[in-house]
Order: sequence, then C-alpha cells, then structure tokens
Amino acid sequence: MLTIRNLHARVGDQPILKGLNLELASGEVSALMGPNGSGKSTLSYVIAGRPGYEITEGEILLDGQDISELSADERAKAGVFLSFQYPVEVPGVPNKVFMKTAANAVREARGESPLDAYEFIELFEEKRKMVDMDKALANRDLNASFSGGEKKRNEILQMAVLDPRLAILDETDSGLDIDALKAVATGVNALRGADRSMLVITHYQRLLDYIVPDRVHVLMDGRIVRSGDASLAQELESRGYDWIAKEIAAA
Amino acid sequence: MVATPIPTSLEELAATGERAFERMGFPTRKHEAWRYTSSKPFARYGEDAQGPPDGSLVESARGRLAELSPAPTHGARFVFVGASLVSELSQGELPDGVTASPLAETTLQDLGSIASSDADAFVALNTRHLVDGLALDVAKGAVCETPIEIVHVAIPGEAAGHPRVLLRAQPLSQVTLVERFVSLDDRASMTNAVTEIIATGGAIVRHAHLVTPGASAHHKAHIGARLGRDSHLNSHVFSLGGSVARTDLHVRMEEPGAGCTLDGLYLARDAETLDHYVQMEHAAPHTTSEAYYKGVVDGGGVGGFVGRVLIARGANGSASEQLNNNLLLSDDAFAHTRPQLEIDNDDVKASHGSTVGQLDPDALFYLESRGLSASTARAMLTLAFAEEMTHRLPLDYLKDALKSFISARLSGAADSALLAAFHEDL
Repeated sequence: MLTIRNLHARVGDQPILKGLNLELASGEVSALMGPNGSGKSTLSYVIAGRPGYEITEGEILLDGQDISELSADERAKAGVFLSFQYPVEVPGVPNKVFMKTAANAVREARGESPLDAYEFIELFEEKRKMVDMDKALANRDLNASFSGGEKKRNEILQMAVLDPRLAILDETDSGLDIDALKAVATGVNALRGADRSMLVITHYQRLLDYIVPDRVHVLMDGRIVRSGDASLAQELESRGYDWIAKEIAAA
Repeated sequence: MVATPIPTSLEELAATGERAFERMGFPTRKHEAWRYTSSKPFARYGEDAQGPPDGSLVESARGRLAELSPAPTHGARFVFVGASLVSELSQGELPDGVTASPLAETTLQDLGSIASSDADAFVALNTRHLVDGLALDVAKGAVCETPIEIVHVAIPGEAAGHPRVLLRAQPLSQVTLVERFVSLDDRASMTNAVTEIIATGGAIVRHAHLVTPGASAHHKAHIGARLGRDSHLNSHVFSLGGSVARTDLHVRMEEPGAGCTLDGLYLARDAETLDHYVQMEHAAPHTTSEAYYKGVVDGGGVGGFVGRVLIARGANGSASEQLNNNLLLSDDAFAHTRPQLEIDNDDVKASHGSTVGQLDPDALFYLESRGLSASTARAMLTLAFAEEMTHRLPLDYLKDALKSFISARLSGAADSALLAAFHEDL
C-alpha cells in the first residue's frame, strides 16, 4: 500500500531522513520505533505533507501513486491520516462542524455523496461511542481545553470518521494514563481492517501491549535499520538501541 | 473636575459646545488621542450640521429599515434619521420602568457630564448642534428583559449629522441598549454621534454599538459612561464597515465597586480605516476594567486600538486588564495597537497584551491534514477568530444579523457553502 523509496528530507538546512526505505502492507499494523531525534515525527510529517518539510530525493507511493508533490489536504483526500502527537487546539471551530466538513471533503474526493446533518450525526455518534468519548466534550470546540487524553481520543474519533487508507499515529501514547491508553488502543484495534494500513510511532513497548503490531521497524539516523515482528519491540524494550548501533558500526 | 454651571436649556448647552469647538478646532496629530489617526476625513465635512430630514428622506429611511433584520421582539426601536429622532419610524413598547423623552424635555444636569465638550472637539461639535436627541431613563430597580434599540440612519450630504443619546440607569436597574449605525445608501455621509451612559448604585448596563454603514460613510462616535457604586457596564463595539470609522469609548468609574467589560470587534478591508480609542478611568478604589478587542484586517485596510488606562492615586485595589489581538489577512493590511497605562497608585493590578499576526500555521496544517483545502482552513480559522466576539454578546435577536454581517465582510475568505456549513447547528 505505502512504498517509500530512498527518501531524503530536510527541515530548513538540516537533513533528517537519509535514504529511508519502508514498505507498509494493506491490512497490517506496523510499529515504528527509534531513539529521540532519529526522524520518526519527521517521517510522519513528510508523509502527511507538512509545509517546511522538504523532500530532496526519493518517492512516497500510496497505492502506486506518488503523493510527494501533493498538498496536505490532497494527501488526506488520497487516504492519508496523521494522528498528531500534539493535536492543535482550535477554539471557535465546533468539533462536529469541523469533522463534517472534513468528512465530506474526503468523501467528495472518493466520489461519494456528501453526508447531510442527520447522516453525519449518525456516523459521528457511532464512532464517538467506539472511542468512549464524552458527548458533551464531543460537542465542544475542536480540542479546545481538552486534556491530553481527550485530545488523543478525539484524534482516533476523527480517524474513525474519515476512514483513511493509511493511518499514522505519532506518539499516540505520550501523556496518556492507562485508562486513556486502553480506550485509544481499543479504538485503534477496532479500526484494523484488510483495506487499511497503520503505522504506530512510539518510544515504548507499553502501547504495543495493547496494539500488537504485525511488523516492527527501527529508525535510526534517518534510515530504517532493522525490521522484524512483534518480538523485536520486546527486544528493544529490554536491550535499548545501542546494540543495533554497534552492529551497524561493525558491519 | 471643573465645576460648570448646569445649563438651563439646550441652547445654552449648545453655546458651550460652540465656544469649546472654536477654542479647539479639529484635532491634529499633536493631540494625544489622534496621534495615530488623522481627523481630516471627518473635518472635511466642516463644522455645520445637516438640517432635519424632509418627508421623502423619512420615507427612504423607512425603506432602508425594512432591509434590516427585525427589531427586538417585544422590545422598542427608536430611529434617528441623521441627527433627528423620527417618532413615526419608531416602534414597539418600552420595557416597564423605562421612559423616553426628547432631550429638550429632560433635565439637563447630566448632559455633557461625561462626554465633555471641553475634552473632545467632536463632542463639542455634536453639542454645538444639539437641537434634538433622546433621553432614556430607567427607574430604580427596573429589570428590563428586552433590549431597547436605536437605529441611526446616516443621510448622505456635505455636512455631518450629530445624533445625541443619553441613558440614565437608576440604582439596581438593568437595561440593554443597542445602537445600530447604517447608511441610507452608498453615497458619502458623516455621522458624529455622542452617547452618554450614567449608571448608579448597582445598575447593570449592556450597550452594543454596531457600525455597519456604507462603503463611503464616515463614522465618528463617542460613548461616554459614568459608573457609580457597584454598577457595571458591558460594552460591545462591532465596527463592520465604513470608509473611516472611529469609535471613542470613555468609561469613568467614579465610585467603589464600579466595573466595566469592554468588547470590540473590527473587520476592516479594502481601504477602510476602523479605529478605536478606549479610555478606562479608575477614579475610585476597587474598580475594575477589562477590555478585549479583536481585529481582522484584509486588503489595504487599517485597524486600530488604543487602550488607555488611568488609575488615580486614591483608587486602591483596582484592576485593569486589556487584550487586543489582530489578524492580518493580506500583505497590505495594517494594524496598530497601543496600551497606555497611567497609574498613580502602587496597590493595583494592571495588565495588557496585544498581538498582530497571521493565522497560526500549526492550526492551518492540522485542518488541512484532515482534508480541508487551504482556503477552507483559512476561512474557518478566520471565522472562528471573529465570531468569538458574537458569542460574548448574549442577544439572540442580533446573533443572526451579526453572523451575516461578519460572513459578508469575510466573504473574500469564505464561500457561501462554507459559511453555511460553519453555522450549521449539528
């Protein structure tokens, strides 16, 4: 589904991704792990099309289409969804108004008819219950004065409403207590499906106890240096990253 | 304050205005309150006043009123055409406990007591041309559920109209006064309005000043308020058009416990200048003022805000806060923002903040990453920025009108489908 070949990207003058190769298959959940500063968040922003993150070489293919020249909204319409590590508070924009606008923008791009208010609310309520989000909260302005856990739930709710092909979850576990973590994991697991690929970016094994990945990739210094199954995450949890760095240096 | 003898007639009061204006003339950039804005666009209309409207103008005004959103349900609406209160256009019933009278028939001791001719040339000019006007008196303890509305219809011409309003709220009363300023048509006009508000003993006054004139209109307004013990003024200024519109708001908190909450929104575009001068004078202990003004400036427009806080030596325990946030939507847009704090007392809290900037790029990317086009994301954030101020005005009958004014102003940023979606009640 997603094929990244020889991706080089920089932020300002600083090269961050240095020849990254990654293949994500449909129906799979992949974990992306790596030490601080290895380029995990940069990769998520580069895939989602954040301004200021410049691709200098390589390609990003989603279902065979190169999306690297598309604007952020065009990528969303093509099926990319990024769950932010730090979702932005947008006071004054009602949560539901925003989600309906987004849902219909994405639906239009897929050739689907727009949802009217009734249809949208039906969809919204179904997904809201799935992520166990408080109704009053869901009716407020977008992330405005939400706690960290509420914001992450709202991200998963948006993911559920937008039904993306590729979902990237950037440090979804950061700042969550165990209840919020479980609720978010339940939502994510419910969204696993044969037509979807998910990339879960995390520092810690903890989230992967609840969202068990099919594949684990290790990012160091801008490149994927190891790939394996779920046991690789456990090995990283107990041994850290230094041994990989040493093996690379020795090779 | 300089004690001045109470005038016994409007003519006598007008004479004081005439003398004051002759002494001062139109302000120049040397005047503190006019350092950042030129008074020339207003001065061009000269010192004279429009005459009263004839029958055909009144009929035209009637047509113009029909285009406005409705008067408050069960409330009263008064209509000024130019400077003249036209009773045949007024409608509705005054709330219990409120009396309306022509200025000529009211006691004159309060007129000019806060909007002083000696302090402001435009007030002096308005006073000089006093022939008419409206006094509203709210009886002690009267709690008015429905707002009172005054519509000012500016009539085109080479001279200015000088409407005058006086609102007196007796102890423990509550009243809402909405003043709306519109133009008869798209031709040039000049309004030099003065409104005085006097609240005593725990009275609560809400005042909305809604400026939506034509593109060639010039608007100069002075709102002066005197607040007695434990009384409160909630002011809402919406500057949504006009070639040059300048609103001065002076609030003097004269007795302990008085306070004010002063909101403002200005949306300037094209070559418009929408300027605001807010003065909060703490003359007594334990008085509070809060000013929160927001501006959106597009095209080659100019938005302005000066927040001047005066805290007197004896005003212990007083607090003042002000915040002015400006959003610039184009490279040519300009906003000036300036707090002026003159504090003669150590035992007070005073804070101020201001921003002039573009839309938050993080918020834009967040919305775009969910499939909203860049233009839709910009429009949504701009509407959200502006409409915070309508949410702070608890007047349901005006909400739709305000939304449509704001939407029309921002139509360059948002198409009609998005505006409808933004206001959908989900």
